[in-house]
Amino acid sequence: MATIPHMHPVDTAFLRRLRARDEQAWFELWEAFGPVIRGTLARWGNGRLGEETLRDLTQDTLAALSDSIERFDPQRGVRFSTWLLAIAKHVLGDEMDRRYAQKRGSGKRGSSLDDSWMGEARVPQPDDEYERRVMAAKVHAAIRAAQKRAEFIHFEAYRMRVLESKQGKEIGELLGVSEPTVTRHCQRVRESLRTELSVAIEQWSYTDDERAEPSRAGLADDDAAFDEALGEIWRAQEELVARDLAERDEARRKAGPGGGRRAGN
Amino acid sequence: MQGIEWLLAILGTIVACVALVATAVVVGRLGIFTATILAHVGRTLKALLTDIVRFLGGIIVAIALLPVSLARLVILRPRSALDALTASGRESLAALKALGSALVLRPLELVGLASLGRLVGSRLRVALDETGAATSGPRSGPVEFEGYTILRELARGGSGARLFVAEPDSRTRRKLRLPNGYVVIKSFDFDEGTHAAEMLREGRSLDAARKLGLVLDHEASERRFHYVMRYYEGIDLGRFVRSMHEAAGGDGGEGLDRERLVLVASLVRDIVATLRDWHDEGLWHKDIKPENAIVHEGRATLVDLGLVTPLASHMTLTTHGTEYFRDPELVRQALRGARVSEVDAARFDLYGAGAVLYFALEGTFPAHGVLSSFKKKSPACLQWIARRAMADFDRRYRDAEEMLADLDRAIVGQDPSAVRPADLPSMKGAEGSEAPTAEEAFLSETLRKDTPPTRAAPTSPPPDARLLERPRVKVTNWWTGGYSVVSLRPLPPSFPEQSRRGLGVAIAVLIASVLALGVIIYLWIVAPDTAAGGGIPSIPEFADFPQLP
Repeated sequence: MATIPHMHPVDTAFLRRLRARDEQAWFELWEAFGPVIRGTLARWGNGRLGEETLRDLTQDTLAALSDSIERFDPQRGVRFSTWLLAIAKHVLGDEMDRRYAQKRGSGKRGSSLDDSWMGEARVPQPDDEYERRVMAAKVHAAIRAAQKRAEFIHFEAYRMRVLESKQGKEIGELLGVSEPTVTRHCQRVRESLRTELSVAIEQWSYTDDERAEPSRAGLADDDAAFDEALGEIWRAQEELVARDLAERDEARRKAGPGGGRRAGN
Repeated sequence: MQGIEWLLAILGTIVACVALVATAVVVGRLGIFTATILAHVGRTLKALLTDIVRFLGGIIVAIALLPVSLARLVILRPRSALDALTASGRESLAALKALGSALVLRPLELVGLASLGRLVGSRLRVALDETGAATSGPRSGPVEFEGYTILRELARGGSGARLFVAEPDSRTRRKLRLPNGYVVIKSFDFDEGTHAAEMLREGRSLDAARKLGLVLDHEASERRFHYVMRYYEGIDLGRFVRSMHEAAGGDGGEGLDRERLVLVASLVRDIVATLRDWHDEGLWHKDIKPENAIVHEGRATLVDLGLVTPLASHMTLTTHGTEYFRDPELVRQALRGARVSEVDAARFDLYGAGAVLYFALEGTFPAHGVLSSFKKKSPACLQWIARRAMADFDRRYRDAEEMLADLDRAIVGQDPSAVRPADLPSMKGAEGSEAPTAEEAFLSETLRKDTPPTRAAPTSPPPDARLLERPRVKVTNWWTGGYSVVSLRPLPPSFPEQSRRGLGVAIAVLIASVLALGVIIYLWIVAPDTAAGGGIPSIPEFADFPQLP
């Protein structure tokens, strides 16, 4: 049975890069947790936040995270996911203050947000779906990293095996290789995935409970269980993102034409 | 004489048969012609009826809106009243358009002057639009371009430029070497909100596009500049693909059938072939997406030159592009501050091409890039090509030529499902693949003999044979993007001429046969009688000559 090694999170190279204002590290942070934050903010916004606003608030949340990373004390025992949620809540709170101020100052009617969640508790209460999303985001970040390291044909063989549940023989026929070769390809990718998963989990887990999540999800077990658990999380993450995008498209549709899709600087 | 009679009888029979066949052909052709005429008349009458219904509907709605407007005015809601009045005016305008169409366009179409009808219709629309614009409030004013007649205005692009569909006059046509078709004029005007940065970027694109012959004409003045490109009447690939997926059952996971799969793969192939030519010329498009490809006569044409950049440019990379079709590596490199010339920017276009292929197969964009799953049923080799194009920068296709070879291999046999990823040219000698067994080598050799070879050297247009194999589509509704697949093996473009020539040959054969039959009958029946009874002086017999003393 494979185990995931524990490292001190604040000492990881990634966080050092974040502190050093490495824009590529920031982009990786965006890639990993952008969809989670966007989805959470969209739920809180209850359909009243436009796409551009959601994107800006997500950026603000992650920027605040990278700014405050040095001040964070992992000894306090707060989960990474909770901390991220607290920052997002703070950012959204600022946005609401801005809108109320606009409403008071201009005499115009400001757009209101559903702020019932603000009164529920001083500390944000992450629900199961949020926790699943954060966990899936970590796993997906690991998959992306492993995919970058792996040879294309190796990773495709593994993907066919895990996501499409194809047999080794069938994969071999498609790729023009023998079944043992497919097994070797899959093994290489699996090893790479385990390594990248341990890195991702350590980077973004501040409590023992968070670090134990992969084990609870079956990602520390034997190869078959690992593949099964990984495939399940992979598919679930895809469905979550697809749902977010569908909601976004629906909002776009309701808003009517005019939302340019081309972006850039 | 007996022998000659038999010969004439046989010849007569043959000629009679030929005459019979020729008569049948002529009658058949005339029947087809009549049916075509009737169908044309039927279609025109249907369109006329639609116009009349539109006219009546517009008038009824316009009249019905007037009391509504009045009622709102009475209850002191002037803004709502004005809205109703505006709507009434809009309906009246639509009714007028329909009436104009019924009175002018349809009769012209009926007598075969459809192109003249379209021209008149376009002018009429422009005139009515201008009238509408004048009555409905402030708008960007009409513009004129010397040598061109503006037919209509298209929706503005991301750069803020105005786009006009125009028809060149005969002198301009000669100058542009454009014997037929319309053009698009992209116009930038400082007075209409164009910023200097956009103009500069477009200017750079203009230089690049001129190199490729995509820009036909251009002109710059102090406050405005415009350039002219060929106009392709069609719908964008995004709408086209969505309509195909809807026709195939929507999001049910069934995916496209074989014919449609080959069609969409062929359209993506067109895009990749264009990219190859552009990359060879040292340019990259930078905004590959379904909306930037126009499906026109069964082929995809890449449009929107707004972001076209020289590959050797020393400018810093920017993150322009469209979400989900833009390579994440482009964003990384842009954040790093890399210059265009420092990276192999052509590969960013390949990512976009892979994303477009994914979109074509799935009907949606790849939200997870190369990790995106295929939910609908599609051939493994096409999935492979899409993923390979979207793979990590160093692992994707080296260039468009390599991707093109794979696409050609996938669609050349008209059955992509029969092609394994292992059969793709890019997989030969790939890391992780194995040397083929004797059986595989035999099968591969057999397949190679049975299928046309993939192209070794780059040539811009695809081979004619492949063009004929390509399914053609006919867009049946430009508004909704509805279409129908015409044929896997379309008739060559010169079919109507050949058809007319065939009729002429049949008539000539018929006339010749009738003449020949007449001659034979004459020789068989009339000539012997004449020879026996006199009438035509015969050669005097030897005995009739005066005897020598």
